[in-house]
Amino acid sequence: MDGVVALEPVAAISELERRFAALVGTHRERARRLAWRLVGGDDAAAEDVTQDAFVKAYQGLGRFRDESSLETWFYRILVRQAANHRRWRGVRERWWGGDVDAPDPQPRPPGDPGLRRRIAAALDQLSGLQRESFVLVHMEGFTVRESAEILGRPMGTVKSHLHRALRSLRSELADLHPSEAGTAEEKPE
Amino acid sequence: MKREDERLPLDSTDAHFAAKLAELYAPEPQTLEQRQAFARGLEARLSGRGYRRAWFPALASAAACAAAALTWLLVSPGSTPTRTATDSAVAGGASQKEWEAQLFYPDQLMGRYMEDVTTPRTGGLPDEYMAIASAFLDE
Repeated sequence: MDGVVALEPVAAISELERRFAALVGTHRERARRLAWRLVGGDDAAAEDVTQDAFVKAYQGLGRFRDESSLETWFYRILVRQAANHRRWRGVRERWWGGDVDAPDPQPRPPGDPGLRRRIAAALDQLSGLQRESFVLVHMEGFTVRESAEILGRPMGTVKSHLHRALRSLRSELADLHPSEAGTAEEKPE
Repeated sequence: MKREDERLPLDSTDAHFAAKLAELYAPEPQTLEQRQAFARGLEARLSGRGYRRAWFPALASAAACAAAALTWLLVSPGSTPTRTATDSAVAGGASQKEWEAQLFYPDQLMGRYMEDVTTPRTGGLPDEYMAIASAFLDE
């Protein structure tokens, strides 16, 4: 039960705080994965963003209304935190140059780091909304409706961004797309 | 829970492509130690310990900025009145103390040149203010 966070003395915990504590336990890993994908594959930054989002959500519990689910509300905060992180990283890079928040260079046993970097770079080319829409729907498995709620945009807008994101990624990562890869295989050497 | 019509229809190759990206572009699962460290860090921040540390550098930066701005205002040639003979003449031969008082406490702030059109020229407060004041004073 390492994921359980003691928030307050038991007697003082309201129903909403109970739900929040459960949310931390059940959504922490998904939240970290989503943050990781949104900030460009940086472990430390993903952890910071996730923690910031949980803290902000906890501090803002009083403002939560049941118009959306607690999960949707929390993920909205998380996506904003990730966007803020990207924005500040951009500012820092402009001021100090270099890649100040470069993903950790430590070797990672499974997977292909080079491929990860390529995918991160391709996602980086997308606009913020395209990237967020694509990651939420196609990588994290949120529905278009849930993603629209998280992003605070109409469903049509999210669909449009998804379409553009997919087109751009297909172009950038053509060798990973089955149809393009098949074509590449058919080509004579 | 999730309705089919909320899903974006993708053809099989695009669906396969998206699934492949999701599989390739994912963080490593955290170890038990990392999960525990995360939970400890989060707990510390939720109980406020993490924020107090962050206040000191922020306050120090704000104080330094304010000091720098004040220094710049006082030292910059455009904003600092350099005392010259002309200035003295304009000031009507004001003493150093008067000049400094004027610099830091302009007459407008001291109320010397302020004229409230609602105040009767005969002096004192407007009638309605006097009525309120007298009500309290009577008690």
